[in-house]
Amino acid sequence: MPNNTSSAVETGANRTPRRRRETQTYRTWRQFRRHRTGLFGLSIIFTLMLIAVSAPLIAGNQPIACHFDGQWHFPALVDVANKIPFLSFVLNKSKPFRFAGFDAKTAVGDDESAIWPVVRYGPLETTSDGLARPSREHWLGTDEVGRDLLARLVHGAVVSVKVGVVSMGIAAVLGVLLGGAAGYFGGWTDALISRLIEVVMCFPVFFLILSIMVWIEPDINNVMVVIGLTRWTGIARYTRAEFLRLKSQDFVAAAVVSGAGPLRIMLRHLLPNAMSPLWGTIAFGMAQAVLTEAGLSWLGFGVQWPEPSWGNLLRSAFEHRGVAPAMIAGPSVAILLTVLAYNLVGDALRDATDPKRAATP
Amino acid sequence: MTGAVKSTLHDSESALVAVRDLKKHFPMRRRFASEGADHIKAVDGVSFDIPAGRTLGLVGESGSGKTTVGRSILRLIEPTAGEILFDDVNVLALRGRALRGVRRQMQMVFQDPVASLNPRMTAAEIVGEGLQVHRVARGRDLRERVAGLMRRVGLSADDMDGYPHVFSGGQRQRIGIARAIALDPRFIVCDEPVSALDVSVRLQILNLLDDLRRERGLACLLITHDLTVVRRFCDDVAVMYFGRIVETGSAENIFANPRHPYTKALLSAVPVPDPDSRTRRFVLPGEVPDPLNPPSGCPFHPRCPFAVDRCRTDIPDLISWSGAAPRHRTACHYADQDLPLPVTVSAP
Repeated sequence: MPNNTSSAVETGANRTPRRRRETQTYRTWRQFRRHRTGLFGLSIIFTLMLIAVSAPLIAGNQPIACHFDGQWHFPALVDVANKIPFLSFVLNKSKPFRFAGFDAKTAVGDDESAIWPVVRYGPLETTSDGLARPSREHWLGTDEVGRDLLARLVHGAVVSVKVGVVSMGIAAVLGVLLGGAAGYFGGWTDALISRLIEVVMCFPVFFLILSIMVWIEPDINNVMVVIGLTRWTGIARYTRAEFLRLKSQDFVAAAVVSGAGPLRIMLRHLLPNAMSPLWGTIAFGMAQAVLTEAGLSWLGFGVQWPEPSWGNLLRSAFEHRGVAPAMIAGPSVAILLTVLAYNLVGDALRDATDPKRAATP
Repeated sequence: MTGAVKSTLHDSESALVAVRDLKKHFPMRRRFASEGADHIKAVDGVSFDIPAGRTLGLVGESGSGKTTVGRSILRLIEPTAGEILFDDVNVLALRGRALRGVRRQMQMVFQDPVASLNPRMTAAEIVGEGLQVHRVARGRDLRERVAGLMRRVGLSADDMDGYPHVFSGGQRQRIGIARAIALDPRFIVCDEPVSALDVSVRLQILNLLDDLRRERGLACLLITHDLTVVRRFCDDVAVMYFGRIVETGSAENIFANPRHPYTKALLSAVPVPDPDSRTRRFVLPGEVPDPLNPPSGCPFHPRCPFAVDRCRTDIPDLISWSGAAPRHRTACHYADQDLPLPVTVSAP
């Protein structure tokens, strides 16, 4: 027992425990913290999410702040704000910058009263300089129609983050609901859901998505939904097993005696205790989802050209590998790092939430 | 009021809790038809009464069915047959709201102080759950009540926001007791409340339970295998063996005048805290029978030093015998003969 309070004389009201209010979540974090690789992965994921959220501030053809026409404008900031739901009132701000064909670069110029993103090119902005090598102007070079590759890479991160979060969000909700129902109710419900899990597990996800994309519009949102609808089985199996284990515990019996109903028992007693092993599974699933999306976009079934995604960046790099071999570096390193980071975090989470492994560093 | 049954054998008028012919059979999956019984009879026809404010000690080896009886009363396990009368209402016939109403008056203290507290809830949430579910109190009122309960069981109210893992075993059991008395029940099942605790804190917990019981007039079913606990804290005793009660009566009578050979063997095994004492001890041969192949006749006969042919064929009833004290009943054909146990070991 790692948390023995080691009081020699037990007087009930003694004051031995130090971290009285320490929650389970905090204890998990303490375990997680000891994993250097896990922390490394977590920092990559945080950086990636930060990049995805603030993409227009890092790469874009709109200034972050500028003095124009006797007024201050923040067009790139407005772009970021517009992504946040319920913040649409800022939509109309910085009007001149919203008009199609308005070229902020020439209009504002290299005025000192403007703050520009690090990369002054938008992800869709073409230049006359096609398939350029990496240079001071284009850090990662340009593609066949002269788009800045770094700008496309930064904006491609949005898709990768979204795919991981949204598809695994759908999968987690489905998996917890179905697995929880199977574990709690047992009997016929369990038999039915368990068979369904086995059937869905047999689907080859990638080819299922491919065949679905033939029939419906190849769109990233559809991809996310299909990944979510097929990747919930692992989570469901974990939840079912945990619910089965937990429902025979005495604290559940105590809750029943106290008059708690099935809903309260599931939400208050079973789910919080069943969640911890799920986080690792969810992290691994996110890595899988990122890979799936990249693969689909590579084949042309995911994010549609010219919208950037790491998968289709890789595709165009592949097509021009003879002329511009450096193109391949950006997207491949990005995919590698992201998948690695999710897997490292998953590993660390699994160790941190596993009571048997918690003792080993 | 469904199933209110008056028994001629028991004085159910005065009983708060009355258990009548309780049976719990667990089905077994057999590979071959010849493989013995297809049910394990964990509890096989148990009856007893607990009057308001009194404590019944349910004693027996592990596997004798004590815990199954305790959990059946609270309907944590659905019994196969029998009746459980609480205030003359058959608890087994209740459902939904009516069941919740009765359950509120019956609570349980569990054996394992680790497994019986949800690690994701604070002490205050655990203790206050019943009050919250039954809408007795909420908000500040709830917190005040919980603080009062914490203090009553000897914990500091400052500890109420701690999670179970910061408490010691004895403190956790105190939280479990606070939870059990939160709804002001009239009956508590204590399932081995101290067997998972350090010897040094056992007595404190038992004394706390005893104080609460007296103070609130609680009826109590104390499930234990420790006869010294029974002697000190129980009014009545029921000794279980192999799913049946083999001897029952007032604690005084059972300890002074045990008549079932099993009870005698149990009592002779009680350690005496005196280094000079040289009690003659009888060590029970063999083990509890295999429930898949129950012995014929008296279930105790394979281990009984007095077993004769009749014991191998006839199952003895739990009945009074000539010269028995009131309520003293024994399931032995030769209860009236008070046979002395042979000595197998001279205990040091």
